[in-house]
Amino acid sequence: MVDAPARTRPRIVATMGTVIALDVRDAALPDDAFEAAIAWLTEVDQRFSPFRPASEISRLARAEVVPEDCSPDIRFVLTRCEAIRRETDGFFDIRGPGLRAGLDPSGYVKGWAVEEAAHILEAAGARNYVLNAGGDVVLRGAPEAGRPWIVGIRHPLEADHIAARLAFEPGPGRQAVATSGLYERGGHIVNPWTGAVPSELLSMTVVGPSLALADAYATAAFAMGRDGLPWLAGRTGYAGYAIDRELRPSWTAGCEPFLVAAG
Amino acid sequence: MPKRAVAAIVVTAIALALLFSFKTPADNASALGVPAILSPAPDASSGPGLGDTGPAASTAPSTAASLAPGATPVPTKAATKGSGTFTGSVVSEPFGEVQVQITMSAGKITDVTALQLPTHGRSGFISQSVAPILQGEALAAQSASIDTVSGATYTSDAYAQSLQSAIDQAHG
Amino acid sequence: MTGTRRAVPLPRGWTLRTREIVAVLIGNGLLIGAMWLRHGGPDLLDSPSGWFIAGGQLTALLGGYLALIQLVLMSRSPWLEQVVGQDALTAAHRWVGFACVWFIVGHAILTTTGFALADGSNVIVELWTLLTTYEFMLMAGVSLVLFIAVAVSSVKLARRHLSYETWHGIHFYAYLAIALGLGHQLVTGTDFAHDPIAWAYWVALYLIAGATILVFRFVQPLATSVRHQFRVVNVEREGPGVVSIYLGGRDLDRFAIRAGQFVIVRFLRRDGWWRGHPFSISAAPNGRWLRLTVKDLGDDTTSMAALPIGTRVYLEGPYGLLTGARRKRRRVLLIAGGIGIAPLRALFEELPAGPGDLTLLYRASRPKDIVFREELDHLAAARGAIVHYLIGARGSRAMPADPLAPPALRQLVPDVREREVYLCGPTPMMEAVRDGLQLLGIPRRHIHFERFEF
Repeated sequence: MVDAPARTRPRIVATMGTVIALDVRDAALPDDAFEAAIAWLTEVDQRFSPFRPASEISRLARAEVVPEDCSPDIRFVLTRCEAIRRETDGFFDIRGPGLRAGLDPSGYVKGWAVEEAAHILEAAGARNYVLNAGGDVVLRGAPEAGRPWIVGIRHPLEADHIAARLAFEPGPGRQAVATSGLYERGGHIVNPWTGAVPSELLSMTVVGPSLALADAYATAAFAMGRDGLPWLAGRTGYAGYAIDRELRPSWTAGCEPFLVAAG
Repeated sequence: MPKRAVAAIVVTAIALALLFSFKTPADNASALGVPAILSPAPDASSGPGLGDTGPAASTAPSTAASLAPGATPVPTKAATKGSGTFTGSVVSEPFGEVQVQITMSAGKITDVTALQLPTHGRSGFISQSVAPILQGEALAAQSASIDTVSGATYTSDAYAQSLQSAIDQAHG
Repeated sequence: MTGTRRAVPLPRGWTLRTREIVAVLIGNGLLIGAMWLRHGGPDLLDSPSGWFIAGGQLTALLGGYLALIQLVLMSRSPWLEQVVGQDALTAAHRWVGFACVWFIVGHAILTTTGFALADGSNVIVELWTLLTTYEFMLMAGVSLVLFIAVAVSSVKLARRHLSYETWHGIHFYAYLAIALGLGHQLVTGTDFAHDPIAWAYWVALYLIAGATILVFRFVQPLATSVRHQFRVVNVEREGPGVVSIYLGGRDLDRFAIRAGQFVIVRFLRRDGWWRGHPFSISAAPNGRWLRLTVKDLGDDTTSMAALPIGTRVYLEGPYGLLTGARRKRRRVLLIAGGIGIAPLRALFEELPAGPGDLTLLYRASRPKDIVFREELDHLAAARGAIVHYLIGARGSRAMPADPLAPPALRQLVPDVREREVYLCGPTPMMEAVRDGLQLLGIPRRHIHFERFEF
């Protein structure tokens, strides 16, 4: 079992156009572990942000550099995103229509960066933590002795309301939760076949071992609409929870163990 | 009155009735109300009242951003610098305006709230605060608790700009 | 009949000037523009989609404002009508109407295109998304279609092919169009959705425009008709195709109207009760009855002669600027063509004038077209006024030259240049006379002419 964690306040970093909370329950995690994780997130923001004209990604989008000349991280991200694009039949596409500056890997980068930040914290000894980057969650261990981490899925329409709760029993490794939804006009979620903003679902939540993949899968499954959950059911190790236009929830079999009845 | 005028009025009335019965998804959803599985989330703006209780209590300790007494002191730098609430500039974007407010304590951000977000005419589609996403708090009314919240959040150039301007204010 | 004491009170005068009204309208428009600036409108201009959306916002504000101005223009408010005149109001209504619809069409196109650009989708998809997922947007779409229908049906080419009733019927949908557009303005409009002051201001504008129409177009005429209980008390044939209708009622000595004005009457009978006729009074108001003299024109008017005595009448008005209120000179010249004699006959009776100060020229094609001959001769003798009957078809042997052309006018009325001139008759004839008068050096402000287009 995990150590009884002491109470700490989460560290909050504003970066990547959103806000990231780092909530580590392990006692005595050295401060420079946090600093290192935050520095990593800031560095990712500098290099990958499509909002910054000087970022590597923006320069790549403007064809000022070619992929071969980019840093290894960029090339890694581009390769992974291309693989996911094929895997999702184009429903996740960093170059798709409706993207800022024509190239926007932020649907993958955010999850990947936060996962790497978790890795940095773990290297310093963290075993009980939850990191939340604008709604993308990676966690491990337990908040305190005797109970699991509880992650709420936000109600897609009513602010400050919860639609469902997921419980994560402590396991050997990290677990991740990512949610995609109609949160943004001009966002990067469009159906690649029709070009329209998907409207069958209000939100799609994906649970799995990798936040980067969960993030990308959530985006793709949301864009697929009603076909999203069936497609997700075919991804080994990943589960999904969807809320449709009429506020009806549905979920894959793999999601069953996580669902907690409303109190 | 000529028959044509009567016919026109009748047709218009029927057309208007149909028109007013058309519902957008937002209307549909609000009209259906909140189904049984959905329950109110923790009130993100609640203050220190939701503070520490012992581990035995069913209400889990709050990880709230509020300055709850008894919290483990975090090593601070110059305590006076970077404390307080800072409101970023209002940034316009095609679909409305964005304004972000941050709360800082001892140089560290403890809360972020969007004061204004474009709703694009879909009322209720976008939550006004990222705080529930970041810091799940104990449900006052329910026995169970939530540690954090996963949901789609609003991200855009305008949001990033307003957020940055709030941070710049805190630092300068 | 030429007594110095008026039998009925004068209609209320208004000390407004046209330019003051225009100044208020422009000032309000600038205020609305300032609102747009304050809401960060120019911030949009840093992206191509932003230019379209900014354009969409400005055209929305302008189009909506012009639509409200249209409501006020058509409200038949006495303070507007007596200051500006029905003719000018009708012309302004036409101009503002087309401008308004252009702006609204532009707004729809610019906004949809801007959203599509920002989304990276195409315009058709964007339009569909807007109409089906945004609140009140489908209503706004219907509103746009109605506006276009009203505008298209009002183009000259269309009006030639449409009956007056059909055109008027379509025109009524403009009210519905304005009402249907309000929802999306308040809920989706970026200027209003987040700013309670701007929201309240816009709602107030709507309320003011709506109240103006409600009061002056509906409530006041209703009150007038209920109070005075107008009825047809007599119908007389004045000549071939010309009929006089006498209206009686209650407290007619308290109904404020003056010679030269007209009222819009609806005869409350089985057929045609809904049609409003603009008829001038053809005798000075005497507190006992009103006389309307009309020509047998279209289908409905033929039944004027057959109006049953006692028919109730719904009356709106009085309207019209062809009155003594406009008179700035001692000497007056009245020029009547055909049925235009009606309001001028009333003026001939009521206008205060000494001997030789009042002259009437009455133009008609045939002798039997002249009406009120005895009355006019009697009035002329009693008042020392002059009446000339100019009868004959133009170009005939009896009348080789146009008797109303400048040389003939100067001969008939040697001091014509010093006169206040009132014209009433067929529009082409009167426009020609007016041009001739201006050639003679009479300033525009001393020439009074009213068309009866509604």
